[in-house]
Amino acid sequence: MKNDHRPVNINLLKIKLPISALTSITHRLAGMYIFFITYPLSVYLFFLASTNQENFTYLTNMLINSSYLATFVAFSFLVLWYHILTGVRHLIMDMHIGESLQASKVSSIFVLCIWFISVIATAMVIF
Amino acid sequence: MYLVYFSYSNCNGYLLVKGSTIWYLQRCSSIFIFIYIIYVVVFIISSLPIAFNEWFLFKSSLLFKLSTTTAFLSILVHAYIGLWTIGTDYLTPRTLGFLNFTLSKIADTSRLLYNILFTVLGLLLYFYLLLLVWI
Repeated sequence: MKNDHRPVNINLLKIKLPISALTSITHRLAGMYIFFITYPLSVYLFFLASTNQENFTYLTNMLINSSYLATFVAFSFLVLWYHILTGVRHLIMDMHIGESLQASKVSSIFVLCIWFISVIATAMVIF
Repeated sequence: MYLVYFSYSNCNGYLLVKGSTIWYLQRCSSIFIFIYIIYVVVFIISSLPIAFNEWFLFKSSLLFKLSTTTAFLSILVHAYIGLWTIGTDYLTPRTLGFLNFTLSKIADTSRLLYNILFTVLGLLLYFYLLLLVWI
């Protein structure tokens, strides 16, 4: 730690991410969200849905009547859907398809478009 | 203990499992989870508006029980590898040292705690789910 004035370009606000890097890092973030929120949530939903008839009707009524809860559940599963979409993109790139700069840009935009369309469609179903 | 040892010893570049095996495990598990999700989503969409009896029959079938058990085991493996990768990428003395020198000193300890946290959480939820599915 002698030379403390070394230039370190790790300021995340100054670095401009290319869109393919953006989908890659959000894939990771989505993965963390899924493990810590969607996974416990789905176990809880399974608990409500499978124990008995009362809990099942309670769950369906809650999802129909409370738009906050419906939004939270839908958002959690949309994050999972985003992770799947970008994950499929990564799997295709692992097979050495579409690895060029241009192709990865196009596939990122394509994945984002599909996800935004599904977000809008889900919002239309809920509200 | 083995899992904790495995994740903790890894920062010294010392691997107990071949890196390519971990890589293939994560990819193969993701494909299996994807197929399982399609299977469940197709059932839910095909039986909307969903009734309890229909759902109960579906969730009592042996295929559902077996596939849920294996799919959530795959999720456990997949998530363990992914979260462990994130830990070894960001919770290291080098990466945290970019932010703060004192943070870099507690990087190894915080990574160990983070590894224990997600391992325990994942296993607990998995065993609870197994209880729900099979009993």
